[in-house]
Amino acid sequence: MHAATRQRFILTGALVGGAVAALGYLLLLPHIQQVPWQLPNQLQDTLTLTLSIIVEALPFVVLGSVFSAVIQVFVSTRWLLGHLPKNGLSRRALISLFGAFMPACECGNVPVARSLIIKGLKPADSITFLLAAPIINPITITTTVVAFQFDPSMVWIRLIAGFVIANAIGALIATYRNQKSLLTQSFRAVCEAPEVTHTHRHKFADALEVFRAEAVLMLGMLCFGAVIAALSQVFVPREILTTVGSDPVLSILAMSLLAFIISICASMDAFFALAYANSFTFGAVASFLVFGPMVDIKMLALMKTTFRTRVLVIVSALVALGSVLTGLVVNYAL
Amino acid sequence: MRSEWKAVLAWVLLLLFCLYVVGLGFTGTLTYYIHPRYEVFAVVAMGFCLAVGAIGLAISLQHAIAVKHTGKLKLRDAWPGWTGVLAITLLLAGLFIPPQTLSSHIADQRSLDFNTVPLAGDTSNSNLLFTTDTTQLSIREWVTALANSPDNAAYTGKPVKAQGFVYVNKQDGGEDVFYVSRFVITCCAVDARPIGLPVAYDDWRATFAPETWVEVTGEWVEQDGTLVVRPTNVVRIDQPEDPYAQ
Repeated sequence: MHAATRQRFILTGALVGGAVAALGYLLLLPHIQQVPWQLPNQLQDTLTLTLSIIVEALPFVVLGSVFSAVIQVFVSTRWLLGHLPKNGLSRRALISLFGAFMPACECGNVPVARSLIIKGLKPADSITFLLAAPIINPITITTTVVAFQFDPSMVWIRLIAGFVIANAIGALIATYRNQKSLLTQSFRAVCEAPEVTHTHRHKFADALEVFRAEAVLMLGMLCFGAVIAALSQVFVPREILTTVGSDPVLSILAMSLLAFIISICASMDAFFALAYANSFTFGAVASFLVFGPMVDIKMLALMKTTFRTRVLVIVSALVALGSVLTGLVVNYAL
Repeated sequence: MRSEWKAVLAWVLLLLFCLYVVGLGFTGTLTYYIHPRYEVFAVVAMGFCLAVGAIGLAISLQHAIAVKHTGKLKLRDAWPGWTGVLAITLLLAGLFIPPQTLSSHIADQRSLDFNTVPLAGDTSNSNLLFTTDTTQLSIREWVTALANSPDNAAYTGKPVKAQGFVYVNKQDGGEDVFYVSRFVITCCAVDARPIGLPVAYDDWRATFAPETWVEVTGEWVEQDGTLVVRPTNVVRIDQPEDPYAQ
């Protein structure tokens, strides 16, 4: 048999076989789900929680990876960098507003940030983007407005604190002379690789490859982050956190820690935080709503694909500081 | 391993995850993990990814088959890394272990969150007590109403019909009171909080094990200064398709 024909035969066979297997799985699924598998409670709960984070975040990761592929393959570097302000402060301020176009769940922003760095954006600027985008975002703003109808000041506190913290940290990180040293070795290699457009004849195939690489990388880290978040949920009793609700300082620390562990999406965290509004200080809720969208277990796992651990530790510490300060200002000064 | 084959495996992994989520949507168990408002987006995004993935897989596979190989393909080169192993383990667990709702262990662990619902929600709920057929009110609506206007007299005698799982609230449950409970979720199961209504049922343990799903019909009465539901009927039911309260 001619080599090309044989290859086509194998290819068709593999794809058809795969499709049939997938369909078979879907048809058998109701029966699979009836099987009385019973894991021990804590293990089952950990699994349920882990999968819930993955199932929630995965569609956003797909969306972000699509954006990333489009940016990397179809957006001209010259155009992008040429239209941004030269001054660092105003550039980062503008980039803070890019959240308006991005998927509201912060996990989707990481592939986008990566693609922007590949296109020549400074790592410090992309950090500002990652921190600001989940908060300065129409969906997040809307849900905050709806949830906090009884005290709309929360909307402004969140926006202002988010903007200030993201830009302050970006400005600080920008003082590092060697911006490339902030990135992981593997990502630096991706940045230094020749432009993707020269690999295939068609841009669409290039975009597919970028999409795959981003999505699979994020998927792996999402799984890792989800397991950690789930384990801390199952084995750290809420009592530790909720017994300090009325103390003006401890409540802030407790809610910040909760924000970190619970890894909830920024688009909806206002409704979650609202339920703590009657038992925690207003400042504590504010610090939750500022800390959560910026840094949590899930986000750190995703950002670890791009930035060195040292950088993430510094950023996390500064975000924690900023959100605790926000809470203190709210509790004592407002 | 040849990068072409690694690309093929990567597509397969991605496609299987998409299949997993689509499968959950197909069998109506997606709501065990995420809030119903995300269902459509999740299924559409995964469907899109399946379509893109199929094309990507076809191109990668064609490329991998066509390339002339020098030297043997070694199996150990296929090692996906520790996160890859984790992802595959979770995928297999998801695909083949039946989805479960959260157990009462999680409710215990979050017992101090019990019945914390947003206070500033729908205050018109308290008006519902006087105008509508109160058997239509959900557990969440009752809990919100009670939190907003805790006037015992307003509730006494009002009929209740609630579906939830049997739960012993460590804070104040006991031999003769159980809570007919649900979890409230905002985004996904990871933020679940338990809520419930106290049901006065002597020696309920003889009839129901904790975590059994039941439907309670009865009315509110005042007992020792607190409101409880005095049931006229408690029947075992199947876990509903929408196990989390909204």
